[in-house]
Amino acid sequence: MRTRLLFAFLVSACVLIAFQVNAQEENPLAVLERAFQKAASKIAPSVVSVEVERDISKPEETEGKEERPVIGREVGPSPGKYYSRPESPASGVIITSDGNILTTYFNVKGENVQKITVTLSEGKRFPAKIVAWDENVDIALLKIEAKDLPAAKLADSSKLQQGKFVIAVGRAEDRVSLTVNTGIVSATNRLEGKAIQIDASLNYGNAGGALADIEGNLVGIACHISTRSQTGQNSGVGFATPSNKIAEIMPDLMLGKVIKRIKKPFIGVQGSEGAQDVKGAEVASVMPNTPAAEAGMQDKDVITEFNGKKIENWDQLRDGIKECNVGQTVKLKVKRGEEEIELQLKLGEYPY
Amino acid sequence: MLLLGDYKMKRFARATVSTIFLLAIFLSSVSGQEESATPLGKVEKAVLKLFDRVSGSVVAIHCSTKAERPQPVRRPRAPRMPMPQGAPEETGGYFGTGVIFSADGYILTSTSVVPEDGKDIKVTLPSGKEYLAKLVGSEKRNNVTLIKIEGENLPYAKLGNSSAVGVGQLAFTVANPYDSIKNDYQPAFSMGVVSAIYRLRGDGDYTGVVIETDAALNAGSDGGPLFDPKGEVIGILNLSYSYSRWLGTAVPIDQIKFILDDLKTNKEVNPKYGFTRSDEPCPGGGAAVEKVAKNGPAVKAGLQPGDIILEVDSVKIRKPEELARELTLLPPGSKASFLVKRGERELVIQIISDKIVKEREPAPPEEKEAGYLGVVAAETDPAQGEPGVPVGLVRANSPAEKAGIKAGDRILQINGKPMDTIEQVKEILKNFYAGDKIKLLVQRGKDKQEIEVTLATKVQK
Amino acid sequence: MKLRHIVSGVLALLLIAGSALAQEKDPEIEKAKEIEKCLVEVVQKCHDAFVNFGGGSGVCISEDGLVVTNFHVAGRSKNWTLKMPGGARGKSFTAKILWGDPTGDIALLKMDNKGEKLPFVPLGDSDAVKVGQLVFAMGTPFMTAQEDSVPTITFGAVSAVHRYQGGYSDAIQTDASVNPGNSGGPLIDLQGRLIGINGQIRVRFPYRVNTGIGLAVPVNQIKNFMEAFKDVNDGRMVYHGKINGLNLSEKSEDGKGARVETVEKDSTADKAGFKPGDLIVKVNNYEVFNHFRFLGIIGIYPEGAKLNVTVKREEGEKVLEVVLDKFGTWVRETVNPKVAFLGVKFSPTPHADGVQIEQVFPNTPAAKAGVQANDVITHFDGEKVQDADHIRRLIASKKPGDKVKIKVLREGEEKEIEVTLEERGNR
Repeated sequence: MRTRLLFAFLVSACVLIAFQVNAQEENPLAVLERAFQKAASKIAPSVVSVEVERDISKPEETEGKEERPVIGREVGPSPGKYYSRPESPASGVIITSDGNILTTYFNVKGENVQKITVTLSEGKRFPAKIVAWDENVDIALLKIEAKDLPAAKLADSSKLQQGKFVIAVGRAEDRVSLTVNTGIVSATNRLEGKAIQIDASLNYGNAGGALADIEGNLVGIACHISTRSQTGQNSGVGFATPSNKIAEIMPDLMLGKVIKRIKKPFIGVQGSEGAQDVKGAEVASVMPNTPAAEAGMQDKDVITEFNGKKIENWDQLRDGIKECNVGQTVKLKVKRGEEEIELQLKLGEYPY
Repeated sequence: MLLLGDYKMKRFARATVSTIFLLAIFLSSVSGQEESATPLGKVEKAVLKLFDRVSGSVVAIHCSTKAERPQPVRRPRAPRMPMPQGAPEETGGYFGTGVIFSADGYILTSTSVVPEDGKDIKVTLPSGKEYLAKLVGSEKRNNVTLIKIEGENLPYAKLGNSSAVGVGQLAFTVANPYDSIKNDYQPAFSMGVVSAIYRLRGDGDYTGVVIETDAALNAGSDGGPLFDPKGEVIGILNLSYSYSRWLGTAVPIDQIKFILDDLKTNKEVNPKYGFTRSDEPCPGGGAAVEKVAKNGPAVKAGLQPGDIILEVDSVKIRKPEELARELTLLPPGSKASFLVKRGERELVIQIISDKIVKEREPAPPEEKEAGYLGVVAAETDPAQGEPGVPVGLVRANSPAEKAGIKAGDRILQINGKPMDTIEQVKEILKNFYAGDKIKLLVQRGKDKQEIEVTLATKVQK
Repeated sequence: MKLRHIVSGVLALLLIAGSALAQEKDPEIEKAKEIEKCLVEVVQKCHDAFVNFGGGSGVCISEDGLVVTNFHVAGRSKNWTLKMPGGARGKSFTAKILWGDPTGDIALLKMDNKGEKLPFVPLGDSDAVKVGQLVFAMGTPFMTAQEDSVPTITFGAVSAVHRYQGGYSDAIQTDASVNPGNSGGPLIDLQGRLIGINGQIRVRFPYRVNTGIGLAVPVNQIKNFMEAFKDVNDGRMVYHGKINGLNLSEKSEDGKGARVETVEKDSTADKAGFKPGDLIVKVNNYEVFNHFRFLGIIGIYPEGAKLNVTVKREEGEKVLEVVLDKFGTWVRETVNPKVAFLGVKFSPTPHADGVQIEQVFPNTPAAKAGVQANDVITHFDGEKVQDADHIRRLIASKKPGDKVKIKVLREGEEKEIEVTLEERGNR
C-alpha cells in the first residue's frame, strides 16, 4: 500500500516536471505584452513627471544672433515647420534615492525658467532645482529634497542591438498616469556617437523619461527632441542618450559641473549628395537666417571650393567645415548654372 | 532509501516510471507546438489569426449632414483629407469607420463620422456589400453614434472590457483611413500598445478619459474599433489628441456599454453625481458641497457636505459656477478626481458618475430653406405673346445650370402648371425647399423637353 | 522506519518539483528575449545590404551589385556614388542607372562591385504577403544614416495589401515607420526577403512625418519589370502598360468584378475580344473585385506584357489574351500635338488645395523635373489652381519650352519645382 502511494507520488512528480518543462505553450501575444508590462512596472516607480513653468514674456535664449523663443510660435532656421513646445509636463527618472533626477536638458533649458516641479509616482509634488547639465548629450540633473526614493540603476547600454525591444516610459499630462511606448532599437550609434536611435513613439510628453530594455533595465533617457522638433513627434525616428554615456558624465553632473556645448561650425544648408553628374557638393536648399544665406548662397548652387580646398563631394565639404572654427570667415567657390561665383562666408554655430 | 518491495517490483516500477516520464515529456512538447515556427514567427501567426478573425466586422461609413465636417487637425493651413479615388460623392466626401457588434447589424461609430443629424448613411463591408443604415441614437459626450443595418449572420466583433485594460498591453487598430474599405475592399490594420490611460484635455471634441495607443490612427479611422489581443473591442477610435503626446485615442468601451440600451432607445442621458453645491463663493476659490444624496455616487465615494471642491481632474475651480461646466463634460459612468478641502486637510475623492435617463424632446420642425432655381428672366421677351417665361440668364453653379437649362430657353410649365411670368415662377418656388425636385417643361427652339431640377439653397460654396 | 522513508520520499519529490517550478529567471521575460533574438538575427542578416543614396535609400538585391530604389530618389542623375555600411564612413561604390520607371516610381541600378561579393536581400513574393504579417524597413529617414551608412531599422506590421493609389497601383501598406529619407529603401519580411520598396506616406497632421501609413511598391511589380527590361542598361525611362480602347464603368458591382462600359472600334481591346457589358473577374491569377483593382493589376505590368483576362458573359466565362499597349499618357480626346505639355494624369476627384496628381509618365517634363505621384499642385505659374480643368487651361496658355514654377503640397509640406514644358508630340 505504501509503495503504491509512493509510486503514485513519483509518477505525478514526473508528470509535473515534464509539463513544467514544456509549460509555456500559451498565446505568444500574451507573453509579449506581459513582458512589456513587467518591464514598464519595474521601472515605473522611478519615473516622474517634470513640470516647468516659464515666463513666456521673456525669450528662452538671448545667446547667439537669433532669439528663439520656442513656446507658442513656429520658428526655426529651416523652411520646414517646428512644433512648438507645449506648456504641459514632461518626464524624468529618479537616479539616486535622495532625490537626484535625470531628464532631458531640452525640458529645463532657457533663461525664462521660473519654477520646476517634480511629481512622484504616487502623486507627491516637490520643487526641484537644476544641479547641472550637459548640452552635448542633452541631459540635465535635477534635485529634490526627499529620501528613500526608488531610484533606477543605470544598466549597460552596450548590449543593445538593432532589433531589440525598447520601452519608453513617461508620465502623462495629469502628472500621474504612466505612459508606455514600445518599439525597437533602430541604430546604436547616431549623432556622432551621442545617441541611440529607436522607433518607439517619442514626443514632448515622454521626453526625459526612461528607456528600458525588455528586462526593465534603464538603458537610456529619451532626449534630443529639439533635433527632431522639425521632424515631428512620434515619427518613429527618436533618440535617447544611452545609459553608459550618462554614467560617464554623472560624476561631473553630481558636482554641479555644467558641460557646455562643444561649438561646431555650421554653414546652414541641406545638401543633396551622390549624384555623379554633379562635381562638387550640391546645395538642395539654403536655410534662412544662416551663414550660407548671408553669404549669398542659393538653392542648387554646387560648392566646388571651400577655404582653399577643392570640393568634389559632400564628405569633403563636411571635413572642410569641421576643420574651421565658429566665427571664422572663409572664401568659397560655387557653380551656379554656367557661372562660377566666389563667396565669403562667416561660419556660425551648429544650433542643435 | 526507498523500499519498493521485492526486486521484480523495483525493476518493473523503474521501467514504468521512466516510460511515463518520457511519455509525459513527449506529449507535453507535442501538445502546444505546431510546426517549427520561431518564437517571433509564432507572434506573427497570432497576429495574422487575430486580423482574420476581426477584419470582417469593420466597415466604411459615408454620410451627409448639414454640420461642418471636422478637419483632421484644427490648425490653420491644415491640409484637408485627400478625397477618395473615384467619382466624387454628392454628399461632400467625408468618410470614416464603424464596427459591427451584433449579428443583426448594430454598428458603433463616432459622431465625427455620423453626427446626430446624419442622413443617407451608407455602410460598406470589406466584402464589398453596401447597406443603407438608419441612425438609432447618438451621444455627444462619448462622441458615439449607434446605427443599424438590416442583415442576418453579419460578421461582428465582441465588445470587451475597458476596465481590465492595462498600459503596455498590445492594442490593434482596424479602420478605414483614406477610405481603403470602400476603394480596396479591406480595412487597414496596425499594431501597437495601449500607451496611456488618462483624462484628455486637448484638441478635438472629446474630453473624457481616453485609452491612448501608438497604433496608427489617421483621418477616416475615427469611429473604428481598438482591439485587444483577444479580438474584443476595448475602445472606439477618436480624432481628439493630447497636445503633448499627439498619439491616437479611443473612447473606452465601458462608457459606451453603460449607455448602450439608452442609445438603442434613443434616450437622452446625462451624468449624475448625487450632490448639490452652494452658490456662495468660497474664500480661496472652489465650490462648497451643500447636500449629498443618500444613495448617489458622491456619498459612495465619501464626499461630505461642507467639503470644498478645489479641482476636478487637475482643473482649478475658482468660482462655484465653474463646477457645472466641468462636470458636464464627462460622460456618465466615467471617473472624475476631485481635490477636496475638508477643514485643514486636502484629499482626493474619485467619483464614478451614474446616469439620468429621459425621453428625448422631439426636435423642433426643421427650418427648411426655400428652394432656389437660378434663372433670371430676359428683360425683353424676344417672342412676345408666346407662352412661357424666357430665360435671359442662368446663374453659374445653380440648379438650373446643372440641370441643363440654357439662356434662350422658355419655361413653359413647372410641375404641370403653366408659367407665363417670372412672378408665377417665384410664387410656385415658395412652396418648395432646398433638396426638392421639380419638373420643368422647357422649350428650346422648336423642341419641348421635360427637365428635372433639384433645388438647392441660394448660397453655393 | 517506514514513516521516515515516506517522509524523505515526499520531501525528495517536493524538492524536485519545487526546483523545477522556481526558476531563477522569469520564464516570460526569457520567452520575450527569444522573440527579440529572432528579430535581431534577421536584421543582422539584412542590414549590410542597405544602400545609402544620401537623401534616400536603396537596397542591394544581388551579390554583383544590382540596386533597387525609387525613381524619385535616383531619377535625377544617371550616375551615382553610393554607400553601403562598412567602416566609420561606409564603403563607396559607383553605380549607373539601368532603367527608370517614373510612373511606377522604381529605378534599377548596377553598382561596380569591383569583383567583391556584396551582401544582398533576396526577392520575396509580394502576392503571398498577408495583412498582420510582421515586417521591417531599412532606410535613412531624416538623413540619420549619413555618418556611417548603417541603416535605421523600423519595425511594424503589414496594414493592407493591393492598395490602389494611382501610380502605386498595387501598394503594400505598413505601419512600420517610414519617413522622408526612407524612400527607395526595402520592406523586408521575417525570413529576410524583400517584399516591397517604401516610397510614399500619408500623413495625419500638416507635417511631413510618419503617422502610421507607409506605402511600398510591391516586389512582384519590380520582378515583372526586371524580366521585361533585363537587356536594358542605358538608363532610359520605361513604360507601363494599358489596354487601349477599353473603358470601364466606375459603378460598384458589389465586389464581383469590373464592368466594361464601351470598347472602341479596332482598338487593342476590340481586337482582343472585349465587349461592352463584359464583367472582368480575373487578370492572370489575380481576382478583380472592382475597377480600381483591375487598374491596380494592370499597373504592375510593363508595356508589351501578355495577359490573360477572364470575363464573364451571359454565355459563360471566356479568357481573352491581350498584349499591353504603352501607357505613355492618359489621353482620351485627340489633342493638338504642338501644345505645351506637362505629362501627368490628374486625379478626377476634387481636392481642397488644388489638383492631385495620380500618375507621372516617363520622358515627360514632369518626370524630368521631379514631380511625384500624389503631389497636389496648388499654384501654377503664380496662379492658385482650382481644379483639373483650370490647370489644363493654364498649361494650354503656355508654349513648349516655357519654364514654369509650380508649387506642390507633398505629404503636408510645400515645395516649389521648376518645370520646362515640352511639345506634346504624339504622346
